[in-house]
Amino acid sequence: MRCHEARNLIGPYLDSELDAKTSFEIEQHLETCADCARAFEAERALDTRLFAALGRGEKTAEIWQELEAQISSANLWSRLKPARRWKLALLGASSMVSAALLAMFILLGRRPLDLAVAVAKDHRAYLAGAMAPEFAGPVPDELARTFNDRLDVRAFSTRPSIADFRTEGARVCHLSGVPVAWILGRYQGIPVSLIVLKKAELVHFPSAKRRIESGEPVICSRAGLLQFAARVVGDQVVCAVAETSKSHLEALVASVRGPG
Amino acid sequence: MNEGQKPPAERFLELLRPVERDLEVYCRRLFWNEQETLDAIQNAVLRAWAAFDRYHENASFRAWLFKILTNEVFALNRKYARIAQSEFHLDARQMDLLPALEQAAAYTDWLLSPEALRDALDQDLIAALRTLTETERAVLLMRGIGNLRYREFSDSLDIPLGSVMGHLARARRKMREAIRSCQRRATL
Ligand SMILES: [Zn+2]
Repeated sequence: MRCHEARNLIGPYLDSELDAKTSFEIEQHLETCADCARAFEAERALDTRLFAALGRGEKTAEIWQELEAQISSANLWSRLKPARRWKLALLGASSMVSAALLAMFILLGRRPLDLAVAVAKDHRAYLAGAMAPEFAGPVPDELARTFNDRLDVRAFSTRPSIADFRTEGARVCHLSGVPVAWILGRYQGIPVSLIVLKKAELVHFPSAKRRIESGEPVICSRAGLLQFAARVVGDQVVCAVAETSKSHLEALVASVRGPG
Repeated sequence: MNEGQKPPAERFLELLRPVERDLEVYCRRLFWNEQETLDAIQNAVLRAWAAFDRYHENASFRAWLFKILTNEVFALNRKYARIAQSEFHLDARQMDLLPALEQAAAYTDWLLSPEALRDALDQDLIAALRTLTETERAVLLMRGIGNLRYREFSDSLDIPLGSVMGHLARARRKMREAIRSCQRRATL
């Protein structure tokens, strides 16, 4: 094998895509040609460095948990017996059926809930000690003046009536630019964030809006280890997030009385 | 236990879990926008799930999902027709120099020098992806992140095996050149 032939095959050689005979010829050439051997070595070093950099990164647990939950729960299609599926596919010209099913999965399926993701991020900051309550009693007047009707002062007096809930204080936060009342507390000793926003602000969280408007009394979603639940109380949306079970959090949100 | 007895959703998720991280990283390197990455992953996985009855056990699930995701990404790119603006190309003068550079022993010396790769930052390497065309980027990432075979790239992108090698060789050459020009800028 000549130098230029060997050089042309560096990529496929490093990718183990060559047949045994060609690989062997290359190896023989490299043993006798120091220049080519160095060139191969250099390319291998570059590949190693490059692929390590490009491949670095973790998966976003929230996205995959949502998708997995969607697949485990919305398996209408897979619950059909194979023979029945086959008939269905034949019946409706299979591509149309698949297209319709896909549209159904996407429309009805639960997208990662935008509001849950936003809330979970700040709750993690609270758990990490990076976010603390700013006041314990009523909302300070100078703060209330900054709300410009986008947030109701009464939102801060929202409390669950369930036993075992203790409030530590409150603050204002901004979720995707939306001002919200953030009440920090503990339920059965577990840190819980209670978030209250105006119902009208749901336009900034389209997937949460869609689910709330679909009539579910309490909407739930998981964001990693955190459970999220929300419900409409009057003209406000009350959300809770904590590292607890779905049923616990649902009960907590359901026990919230209207503000005032 | 017979694999065929498990509910399809369970089987699908068992196959999906080991590939999730790689799919997400691959998708993030192909796009630059968070929301689009999420949309593409979501659409591709649901599309795969909807078509799971047509997946054959003896095929590589990883390759099958990479193919579906790549098609999803390309379709989104076409939809927004932003391919041209999201890529900038090395200028022609620089490209002409490349074959000569590759032959040069000086080039190999540079690449083997301890500082060449040590000083290249991850973010520079990732930014260098922008000098690649959509197809070159996809083949490079399918190789580097997907760990796929050439015939799987060829099947995913619906291009002949010979062109796969051409795209991959150009992708590697452009990456080398981009890293080198980053470094020249840094040392000026
Ligand atoms: Zn040689």
